[in-house]
Amino acid sequence: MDEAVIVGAEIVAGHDGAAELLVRLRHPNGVEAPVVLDEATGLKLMAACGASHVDDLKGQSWRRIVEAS
Amino acid sequence: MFDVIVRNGLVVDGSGSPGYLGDVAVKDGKIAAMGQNLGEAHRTVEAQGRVVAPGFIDPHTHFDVQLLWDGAARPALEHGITCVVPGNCSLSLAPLKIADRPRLIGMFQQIEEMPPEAFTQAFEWTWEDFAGYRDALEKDLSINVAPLVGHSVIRLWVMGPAAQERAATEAEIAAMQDLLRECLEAGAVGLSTSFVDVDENGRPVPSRFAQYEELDALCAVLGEFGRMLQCVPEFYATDITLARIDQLAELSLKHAIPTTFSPLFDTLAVPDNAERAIARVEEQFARGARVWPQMQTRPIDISFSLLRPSLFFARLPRWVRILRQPMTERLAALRDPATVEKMVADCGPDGGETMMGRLVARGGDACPAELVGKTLSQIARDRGQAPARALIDLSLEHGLDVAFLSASAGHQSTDRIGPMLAHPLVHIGASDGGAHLASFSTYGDTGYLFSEFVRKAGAMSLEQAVAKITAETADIWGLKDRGRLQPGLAADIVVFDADTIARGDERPAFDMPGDGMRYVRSARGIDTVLVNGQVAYTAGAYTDARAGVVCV
Amino acid sequence: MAPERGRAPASLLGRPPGREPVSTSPDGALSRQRRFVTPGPEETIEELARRSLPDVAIEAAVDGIKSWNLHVFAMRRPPGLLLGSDVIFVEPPIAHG
Repeated sequence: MDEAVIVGAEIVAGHDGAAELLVRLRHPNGVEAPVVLDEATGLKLMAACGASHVDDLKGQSWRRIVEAS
Repeated sequence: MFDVIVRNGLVVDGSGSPGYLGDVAVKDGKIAAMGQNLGEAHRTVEAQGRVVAPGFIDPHTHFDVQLLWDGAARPALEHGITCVVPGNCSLSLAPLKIADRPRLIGMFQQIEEMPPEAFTQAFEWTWEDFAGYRDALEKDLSINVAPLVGHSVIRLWVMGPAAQERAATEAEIAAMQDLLRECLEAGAVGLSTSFVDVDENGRPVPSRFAQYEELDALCAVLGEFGRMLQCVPEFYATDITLARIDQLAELSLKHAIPTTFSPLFDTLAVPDNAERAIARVEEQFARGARVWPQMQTRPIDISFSLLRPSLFFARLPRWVRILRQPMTERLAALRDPATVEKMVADCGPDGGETMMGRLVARGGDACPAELVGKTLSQIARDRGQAPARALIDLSLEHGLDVAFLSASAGHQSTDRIGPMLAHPLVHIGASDGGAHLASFSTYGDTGYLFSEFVRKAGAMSLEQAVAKITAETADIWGLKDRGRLQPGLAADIVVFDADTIARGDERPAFDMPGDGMRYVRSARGIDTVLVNGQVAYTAGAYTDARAGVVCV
Repeated sequence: MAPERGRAPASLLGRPPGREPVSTSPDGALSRQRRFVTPGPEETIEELARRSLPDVAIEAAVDGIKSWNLHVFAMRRPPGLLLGSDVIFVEPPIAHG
């Protein structure tokens, strides 16, 4: 693996009462870290990846997140 | 002869010391004496079987606008709050030039969900400078106010539209310093800034365009007064929170100022988030920095309707596909019996009882009033339907404008949060009072502190909890006259029942200008609230007292 | 118990955070955290990458910085806009615990 990939995603409660998408990325050094996407970006990411379920995001490149934003 | 005596209560003075039975006497707005057999007074408040404590202080609110037509910041005062800090997150109503009002209103609408009528119908906007705002504010206050001045409006005043376009020049930074100094002299308790907020067009608010050098220069002015820097950092992103803590610590050390960031959330999705942040705060305090994380007591709820696609359904592929369609196609799909059959089946053999049964119809929208507050499970039973089908049908019957709430979806683990709230370096706050009006209630966090973390979980004693939201808060913010029951200090007093104090259920209220809606919670267990020696709330009703002041 | 307030090491006073890492103090008072910088006025990501990762090929440096800072590059804002107040990490996440 030479780039960060999505290894998990889950719905979290946002500060403003909206559901947000917390995406967990594994970086090439093996360390995992989360990034939290707002509802619109999260939905766009799922659509862009053809994902109907958050688990479908696994294995996607970090680049898809930037593309979705 | 005293003005008021609060008799026979359990005096919990804010210091954290054990409570004791006694009286508190008030004269000329100050606490005049404490003990027993103190003498006579014009008015007696009987407090037998009740706690007598300093008024609570709410350090993170957005009551800037509401205070201009409602000097009690309802319903904050009835929850025992006697002092609020508005002006958080880089936004305040002064200093602001007339020409910049529309821009600020847009930010308030976007970030705090204020209806536009709140700015155009409810008060006369007479001021531009901070002193003028203070004058307008002080005319009709029932509650005390320690207002922050917002970095974004300071930038806007000095730079105009360029405040949202570029870094400031040296001359502009110097002008901002002068302006901040003027605001602090006029009674601002500190400066607020934001690293996350955007305006109604999605553009970052002015404070986010500031270089570190600009913030550093402004903190130098705060240092002249020893006043607070507040910031709102990125959420759930632990590494960034730690970076912000380090930035705040440097500013605190260099300028000898207190700093606070809010909110800090706990989340099971990133279980070490708050823990690592608090550990970093401990390290920075050990260096002498003052970086206070504000943590709210209440859990976070998620709300949604079928009007817009929501990530709430992200584990239901068919629902996601249907709800992200344009409205016409979405409605057609939701009206198609075969499609709905499959959607309901997706929710499990119980028709969504487990997955959705606990959702609550919120109200404040097109939802019939008789359904507000009911669970989807109850509604479905009454309709003789499966919960998932009831959700779809009820939404269709009302143009999809029926909001549902998934309660306690985040920051919800009492076992985890209790010890954090009790931590000596964690500042209980971040209520956001007066904000997010159409999304959720920001009132009653203090009641929830006692009901959930003192009575239910035993995470802290009654005395500790009182100290956290009174004396400790006053000390953090440098409010020298507040937060303690002590002769000579301001007589801000709350009388409450330790066995019943709590927050009421969330409900929609249509009391905003222009018949605007907001969610509120009434107080439970609060008997009487005195502000500067005058009874401002008692026996479930607000009085005509207007003793609130701007206090620093 | 509240930690005792200590004195700040003189070497740390007055140093703007973000211009260089604050995460490792000479006396070890602070645990190591991710290194970050803040963008200069009008600075582009390419310029920031060059100054932060001078020994890395520019394309790889930009790529790395983007992937380490999705809190900036996946958020609602005009494309390519770096803000003076942004925290930009110049290394990937580091292991904890």
